[in-house]
Amino acid sequence: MELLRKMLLYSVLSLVAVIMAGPFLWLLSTSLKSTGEIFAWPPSLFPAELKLANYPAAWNAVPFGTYFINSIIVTLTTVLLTVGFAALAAFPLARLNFPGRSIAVGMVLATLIIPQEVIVIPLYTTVLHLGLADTLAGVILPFSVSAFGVFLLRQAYLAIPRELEEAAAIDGASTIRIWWSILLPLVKPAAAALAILSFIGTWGDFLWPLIVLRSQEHYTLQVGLSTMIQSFAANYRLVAAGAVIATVPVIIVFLAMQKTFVRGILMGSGK
Amino acid sequence: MPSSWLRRFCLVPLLLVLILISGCSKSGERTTQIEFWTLQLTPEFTDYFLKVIAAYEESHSGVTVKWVDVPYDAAVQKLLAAVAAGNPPDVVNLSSNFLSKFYSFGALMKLNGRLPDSARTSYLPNAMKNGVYSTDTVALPWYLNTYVLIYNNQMLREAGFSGRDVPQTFDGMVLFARRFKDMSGKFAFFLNIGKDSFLPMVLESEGIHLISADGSRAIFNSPEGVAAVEKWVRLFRDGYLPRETVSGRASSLIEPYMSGQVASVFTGPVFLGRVRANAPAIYDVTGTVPALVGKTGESELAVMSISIMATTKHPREAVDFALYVTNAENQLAFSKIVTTYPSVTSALDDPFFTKDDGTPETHARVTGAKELPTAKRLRTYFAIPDYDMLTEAFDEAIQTACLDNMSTKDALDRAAGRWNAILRSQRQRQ
Repeated sequence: MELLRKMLLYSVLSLVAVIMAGPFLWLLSTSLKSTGEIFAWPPSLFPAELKLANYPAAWNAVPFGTYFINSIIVTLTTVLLTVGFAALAAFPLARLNFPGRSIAVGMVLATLIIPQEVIVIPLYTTVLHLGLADTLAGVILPFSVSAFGVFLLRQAYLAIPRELEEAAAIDGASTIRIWWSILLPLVKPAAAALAILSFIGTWGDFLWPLIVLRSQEHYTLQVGLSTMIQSFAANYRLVAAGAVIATVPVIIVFLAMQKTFVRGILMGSGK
Repeated sequence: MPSSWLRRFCLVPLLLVLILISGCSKSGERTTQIEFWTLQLTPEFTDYFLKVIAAYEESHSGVTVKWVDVPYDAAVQKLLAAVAAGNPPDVVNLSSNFLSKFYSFGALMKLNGRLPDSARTSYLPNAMKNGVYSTDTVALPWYLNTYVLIYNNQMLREAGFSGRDVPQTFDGMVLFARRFKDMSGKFAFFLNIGKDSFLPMVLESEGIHLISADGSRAIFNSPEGVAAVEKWVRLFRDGYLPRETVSGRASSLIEPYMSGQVASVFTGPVFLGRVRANAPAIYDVTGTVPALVGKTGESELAVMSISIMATTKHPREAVDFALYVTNAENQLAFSKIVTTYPSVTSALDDPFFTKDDGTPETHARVTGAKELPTAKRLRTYFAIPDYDMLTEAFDEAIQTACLDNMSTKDALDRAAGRWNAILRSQRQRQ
């Protein structure tokens, strides 16, 4: 009976895994196919011969290196700022008592219901007036504070027993010291989760950098990739190879932080 | 010591931000800069534009041109954001459907009186007409495309046919598609009918108008309109059209042809390049005949155009640059990179468009070029700013008729009702 249950469970999980991984596997297979093979009928997941040459060809078709560096600058800065600001902002909202605290929490949460598409134009106007149009700073700054991040870390702070803080206070630690030495290490899993989510979101963002950036030398990977899709003679293999290259950092970051990530997501739910 | 460390520590991020910001602030040059946006032309045209722009800057000292290429699917969003924020480019490449949208916002400069007399006569009349709204000229025609029917000779042969059997009219194709599949078990033809539907084009070519002459109401649900659409719905329901003709986007219509699932497809000569790159075996056996037509014999002309934004601070330079990009020499060089057609009449006399060397690509190009003098914009509803809502309502009607059990008449009646409401609200806004 136990075995049957397990078998059922595993087959359901495998099915879900195939469905989730399917599009990526297809992309990977397309990126390795040779001319004429992509549209072969019936389609095949396995290329007749591995055409690794698609990768250097894609890399050289557009200034991939520049796009890559820009994406790394944008993503790392955004992740650092998002996690830093969220860790700072969530602390008083979770731990300090001041008038209007619940209102402040409510207002932060309320911003979550406004979809990005609605604020794009006012945001762009703001960036323009700050003189940040067509700069990486213009891509980074508007999304360097995340309401969701503040919320996630606030939940993490709330889960920490107050006694720890009180003990530190008795030993004479200042509020900042308590935050830095006691609380921050304890919310690391949640901060790591936020870092991954922010990394994936920023790395994959297309619309915002597209609107802000106009010079090719400032393009991020996603915007740069879209310029590979030509109007007239689209070479799907190169586009697929480019997309695979762009996906690799996300996979690496996720694998490296997977353990902390799952713990961080679960932590908030315990409360 | 600790305090200096602290200060240095604080300085690093501050400096970083400053570098980011300062690296991108504008330098105070004295030249006039024109910003020029194109629709998805990199990387194949990168060298072309660098050359054209360099030549222009050399002959016009004091003017620099900044070229920005925008992906087609995100172009409207990016341009809307730029217009709303008051930071649009000066010169912009728009397709004819985007044109009506930005014209309705008053974002495009009227070119009446700003063009030299020679400009009025040098462009193909039907292409020029595409940029005229009531009496306002708001766009110069740029590169053009026509439609042709490309077919797979090998599939025809295997089914017992030859290139001579390929029909010339839409009605002929409806009959041929049945015969072909009955004999070979394979699909003869691919035409998008349910999404990005080509049926409005078919109807207009049959002489059945979609909108009344005064533009106030939809008339495609007339008995003739219903009968014409019914032929295609029936063809689909009886299993003679692939499923993707109802569910697939027009941008991927070439794919079933490249995979050898269909024997022919109604498309632009330009797509031959895509077939050559992705399905060389099929490219080798591809033949081309002129566009299928209806009773009027008219075929569609697709126009890419260049407009000047109304907000430009340098209207004179912007117009001059637009004329330069669309002149005969530059257009000819452009069209030779991939198969498009120049909108300047004199450039069309080039042997590139008249001399058939027998390769599938050239044959398609020459066949398509012959249609240019008579081809015109059949889907006139693209000139209505809410064309996207109209398209959606029409497409939905075809989908319901094909996939659900609604009669073609009921589906078209319902779509006509939606069109009338959209047209009414459009008029009220004006």
